Amino acid sequence: MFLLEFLGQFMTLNEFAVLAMFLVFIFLLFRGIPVAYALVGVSLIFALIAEILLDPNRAAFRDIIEFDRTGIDYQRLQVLSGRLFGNIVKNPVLVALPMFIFMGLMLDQSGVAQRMMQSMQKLFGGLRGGLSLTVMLIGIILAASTGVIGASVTLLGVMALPAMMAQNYSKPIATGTIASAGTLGILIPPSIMLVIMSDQLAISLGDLFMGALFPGLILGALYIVFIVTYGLINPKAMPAPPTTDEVGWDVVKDVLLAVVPPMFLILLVLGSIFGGIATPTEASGLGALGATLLALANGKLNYKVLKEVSRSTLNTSGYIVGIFLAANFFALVMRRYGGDEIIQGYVTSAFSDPYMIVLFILFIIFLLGFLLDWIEITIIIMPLMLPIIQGLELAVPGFDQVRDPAVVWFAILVAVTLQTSFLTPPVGFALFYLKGVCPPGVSLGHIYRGIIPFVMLQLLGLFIVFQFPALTTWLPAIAYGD
Amino acid sequence: MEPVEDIIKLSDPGEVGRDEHNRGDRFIVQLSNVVAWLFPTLMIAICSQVVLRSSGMNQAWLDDLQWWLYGSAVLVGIAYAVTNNAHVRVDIFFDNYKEDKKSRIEIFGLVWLALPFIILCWDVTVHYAIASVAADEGSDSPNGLHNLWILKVVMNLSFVVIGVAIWSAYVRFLNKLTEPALWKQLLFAFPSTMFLINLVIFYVIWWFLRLTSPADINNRQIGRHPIFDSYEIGVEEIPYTIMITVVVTFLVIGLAYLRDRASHARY
Repeated sequence: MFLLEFLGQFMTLNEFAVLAMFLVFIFLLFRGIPVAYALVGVSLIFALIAEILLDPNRAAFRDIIEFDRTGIDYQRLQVLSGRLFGNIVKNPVLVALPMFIFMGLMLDQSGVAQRMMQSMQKLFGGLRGGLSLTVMLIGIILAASTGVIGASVTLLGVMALPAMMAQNYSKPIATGTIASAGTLGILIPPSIMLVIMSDQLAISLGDLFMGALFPGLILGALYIVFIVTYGLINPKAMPAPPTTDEVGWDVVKDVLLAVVPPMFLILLVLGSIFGGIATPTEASGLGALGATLLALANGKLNYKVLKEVSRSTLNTSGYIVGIFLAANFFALVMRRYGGDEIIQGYVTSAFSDPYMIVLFILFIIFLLGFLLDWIEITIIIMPLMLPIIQGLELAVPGFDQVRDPAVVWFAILVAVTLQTSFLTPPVGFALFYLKGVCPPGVSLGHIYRGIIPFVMLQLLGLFIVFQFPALTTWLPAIAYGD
Repeated sequence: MEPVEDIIKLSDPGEVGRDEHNRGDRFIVQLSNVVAWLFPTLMIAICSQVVLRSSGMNQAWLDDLQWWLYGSAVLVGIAYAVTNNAHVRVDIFFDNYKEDKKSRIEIFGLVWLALPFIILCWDVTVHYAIASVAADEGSDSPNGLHNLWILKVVMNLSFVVIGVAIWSAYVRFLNKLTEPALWKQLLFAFPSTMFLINLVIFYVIWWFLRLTSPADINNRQIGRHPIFDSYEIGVEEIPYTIMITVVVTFLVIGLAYLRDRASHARY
């Protein structure tokens, strides 16, 4: 009672409950409870507290602290059924989720990455920094295959790191290249993260894909310019191999044969959306079929691969949809406590300048990225931020074509921020995935040192997108314009 | 290039740790193995629709079929991820815990947090599904897939599947800590056990009244029968069914315990 009276001077009981909800959630997370279980658990606990303790005793509570009735009771939880069906099952946008996962897994199995590595190594191998460039280009082209960052960082790490070590590359630069190339996948379309963002922010997936293209390419270009410049300034960090084979036409032919099919796959996905032949959801199905045909062409497709890709797809989409399911309940309970308004109130009153508010949100998301994967952040945090962004009246050009241009711009900013977060020492996810596949002799310290310039480039990229919002909305406007 | 092939090679998620799987786990894995084929089917459905539409033969039912396939597959996918222990977690501290502590955390997450919610989902969607069946609900689009009620029934059943997956995984982890006798299973999953017993009691009473009442009494009136009233202490209201539940829960666990002791005494 005394405690409540003390708290009552600073906050309402609702605010305290919402704060406690997040704290309990974080506590459960750190104990290692899976995110989905922690979300529903904390919601159940607070639904029970409301129904048994807070609501019946509201008169007594109001004497000492401000409190709005939550009105949670078992009968009212019936609304959950319609929401679960409407948000999870009857959701044509999310159909793209398993299809892009399928496409990515299939692409990893199809052997195109190894083929690109082998052939491009021959083409660029004679150049100083050739291997770094190869890794970067594969990262950009194969960005399609990813979304689950661990997969691409691991793939590039196992494939390229031994070759780079053999050529005496400096360890920091080698690992930095791989980690940053591997995380490009969450930004460059078709990315699963953008699929979930479009669902959570209620914006068109086509707009998001087109909007992410320029920022993704700008980041890729920044990386490449950096590697080339670094190689010129500090040749010892990326030595050329002692003996080089003649680069003949057959090498060029090999590279083309290796690069054209995956490029074609990406063009198929993006082009079918761009040309209006298919909806983004349908493009995911085309992409999945394309990747399967690619595996077939490379002789890697058999019953076992198809079976295992399908099962892994079920597994991955299962845990992602599990968080969807849990987040629906969490949002329901939190809204009854008035959590949405409370959080919006806090965030919007933090600064008066709307752009500072955007930066503030990005900073919070950057910090959350240390702790949570993009799946949880996009599903739990994004819906809370949507009304704030819509209410800020940001001057983002929509060229009369893009609906909600500010939200598209914001979504891309969040994507770049998360990518930066996953690269930032000491706890970025990508760095640990890479450490997991490093040969002995490469320490976490090397990785930390190597990644710093790339984090700087990320921040530069973020700054560019922040300063020129048209980068994210011009292409969608053209794509869907008349 | 050999090690690369090895590392990126997929493994069959349901076959990892197969030795520890119990019958429930195997059931989920086998069901999921069948359901996984819905994804290649979905891929073909989508591609056919794109081809058919560009040649002017739009099939509205194929649009519906896409999310029918996706929806039913991913709901089973949740159960599959439970069995494979694939649900995402923050593992910075978890990885360093002792095996016992890990098992206790798994158990707490499964049957104290997740399972009550899944039972709740089942309970709320069962009415939803029944209402849909009764109304013979169809598609939004005139040429779409009719019989939408099938999907709603599937959604309801998938919560049973997820429940089975959680319970089997729970027993698997309990087995690592102690001999999983029935009374221990029920006791250590107390919130889930009690919630389930509550539902059973509620529906048994409800159907008993329904079947013993004359047909002119409607369902709403049955819901107002005195047995569904609450006992009031001050501002708190405790429904009689909850009180019965508490007693029955302890009785059930107690009986399971006595039966277990009796069977031990016999040997």
